[in-house]
Amino acid sequence: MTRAGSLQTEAVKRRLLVGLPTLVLLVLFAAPTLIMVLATFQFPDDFGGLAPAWYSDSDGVHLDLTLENYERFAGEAIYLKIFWRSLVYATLTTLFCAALAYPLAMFITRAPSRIRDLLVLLVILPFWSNFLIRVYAWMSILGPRSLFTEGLNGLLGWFGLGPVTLLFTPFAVIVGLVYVHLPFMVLPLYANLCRHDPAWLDAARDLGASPWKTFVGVTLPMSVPGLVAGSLLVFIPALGAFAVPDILGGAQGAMIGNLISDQFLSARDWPFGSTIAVALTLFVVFIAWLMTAVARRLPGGAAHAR
Amino acid sequence: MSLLEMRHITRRFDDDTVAVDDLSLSIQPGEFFTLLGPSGCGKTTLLRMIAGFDDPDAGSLLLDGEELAGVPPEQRPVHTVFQSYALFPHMSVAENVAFPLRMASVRRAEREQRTREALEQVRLADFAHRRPDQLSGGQRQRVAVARALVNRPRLLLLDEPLAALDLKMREQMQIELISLQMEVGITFVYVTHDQGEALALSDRLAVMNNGRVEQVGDPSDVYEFPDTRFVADFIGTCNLLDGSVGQSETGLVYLDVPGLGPLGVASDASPRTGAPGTLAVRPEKVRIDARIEPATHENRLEGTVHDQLYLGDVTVYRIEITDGQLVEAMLPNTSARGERFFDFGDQVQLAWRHDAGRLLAD
Ligand SMILES: Nc1ncnc2c1ncn2[C@@H]1O[C@H](COP(=O)(O)OP(=O)(O)OP(=O)(O)O)[C@@H](O)[C@H]1O
Ligand SMILES: [Mg+2]
Repeated sequence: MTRAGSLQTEAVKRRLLVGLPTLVLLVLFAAPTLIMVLATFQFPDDFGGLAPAWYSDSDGVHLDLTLENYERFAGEAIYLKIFWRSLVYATLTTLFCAALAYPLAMFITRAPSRIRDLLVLLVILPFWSNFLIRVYAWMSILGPRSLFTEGLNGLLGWFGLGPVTLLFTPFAVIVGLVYVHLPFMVLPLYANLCRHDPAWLDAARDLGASPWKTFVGVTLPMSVPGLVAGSLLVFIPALGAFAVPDILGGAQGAMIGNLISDQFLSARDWPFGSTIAVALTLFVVFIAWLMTAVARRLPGGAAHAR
Repeated sequence: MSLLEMRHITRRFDDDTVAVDDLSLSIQPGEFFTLLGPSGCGKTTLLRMIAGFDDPDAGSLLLDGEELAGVPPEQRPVHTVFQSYALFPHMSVAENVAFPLRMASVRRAEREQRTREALEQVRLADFAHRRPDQLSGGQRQRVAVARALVNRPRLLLLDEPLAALDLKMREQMQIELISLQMEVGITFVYVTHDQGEALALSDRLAVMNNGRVEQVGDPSDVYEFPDTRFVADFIGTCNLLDGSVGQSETGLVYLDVPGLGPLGVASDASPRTGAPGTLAVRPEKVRIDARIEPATHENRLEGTVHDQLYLGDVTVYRIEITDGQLVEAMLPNTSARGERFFDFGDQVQLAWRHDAGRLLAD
């Protein structure tokens, strides 16, 4: 083959390499999103689904669209309240995950190399069993007759405190969310921490930093990219979670995810469900943008790299 | 009083590796002291114990007469320049250099002032706001030195700080390190496996082997008067001629070297006749010519040129005396046009003074 010919096939190959994933993303991501955005302006059909976006009569073709869904979403306090509650739950989940994952990731990083891979495997081991089963397991752990709850209440009674209910409370929802999302915080943090040069720690100690100051001054700022990645991976799905609050939260624990699934499955109001989903998406995009923008400015962030 | 006193330091790893073996050394205030030894001889292990990252299994370390055991690294007035430099990538050059001052809670104005001075000392004032990854290897090395010196430690440890630099840069940095050390007057303990570096930089040096000190002294002492076979061989090149002690007179011992006959060597020791011994003589001390007049106080041998190694400034000739017994002689290339003095197979004579050689007991 001539040189020019082989260059041409190279270019074709490269275009295929970039083009195929782009096409897949367009078909599987952009198109559904557009359909969803369109749905927010449509009317619900009588038995669920969507009414046609246009109709034609003797005068010609008419669009049959509305802003009603947005008005309804913005107008009723309950939706905003649930939105706010979801935000609080997701934020708490992210914070608790970070607090639990950080020491764990550090422990794995500093473990002897022989057992390090095993520890990482243990972190992702829960993924091997079904998600719903794992959440139902929490239901029985936190249930009123469980060993855990009775033990806790026994202990509280000892101090003269009243028995507490765990299941179907915000506490149960957050415990479930933290449990489900913890690996998503541990893995990026671990990936970040194991790229830290151990010599940095020696250098910091050598130059007069106590172990705590070494952590605050070197380890923590250098791990910001890992923390941000983990936080996004936890916060976004936690914000949209619906199975966990459904199973562990009871009536009072509903989150946006429940609201959306209710609109689609029970109320059969697809347009309004889509509206809430679009609002959620916009909000998530905003949060992701905000977090990466802040992280870029922090010491270990991308604005400082290379 | 010596600044740092190491007494019978031993450090073992996994029972069978003895990285540092009953080592004792004392380091004087203000000196440039070098630990020289081959890879794996325990230099880094020793340095880590001085810095406080590791504890000796036995023995004690005293700084200014005070025991260091139990003092964590951050509380030792000892700073280290690491081989990898270990600069903090998320901090600018100035922030890196200011780090020890910040840890010591030095006030901001003074901190900035001293950081600037330290950067000027290593000629990096213009690079204060760069990130470490925007610097060349030599510049990073200078940042690491400035950072380790800025808070005026009692002792500066340098672990092969020039190993990652190319030859030209290394030579330049050697000169800079010497003048910097004189300027700041801080005691340096420098680790290297490069004998040239050790000779060029040090006030005193210790040659290490297998976790032990083989010899301590100033560079010319160690070079000219190696105490052991290892030192003679490790520093520079050396002819090592094995034989047994023959007759001896005051200040002079004759060593019977098989194939070469008795060779005189100045020695204050009076070893037992028949004891094994080695004569060490540096190639540059050996004269070589077509004919050399016999002289007292000299050893004289005859042989043929076996091969020669042209090194530009000097040529090393290897002369075969008897079957297989080779002696190296080094000759500066002083001829105007670079012609060689001798060729393969030439008959030549060698000579060196009795006091140019050294009798090694082991
Ligand atoms: N943490 C450790 N665990 C086990 N063995 C070790 C450890 N650190 C060092 N050693 C061993 O101790 C010996 C001395 O190592 P050290 O790093 O002090 O050598 P070095 O003189 O600094 O060598 P180099 O010039 O290659 O840096 C080596 O045999 C090494 O394998
Ligand atoms: Mg070393």
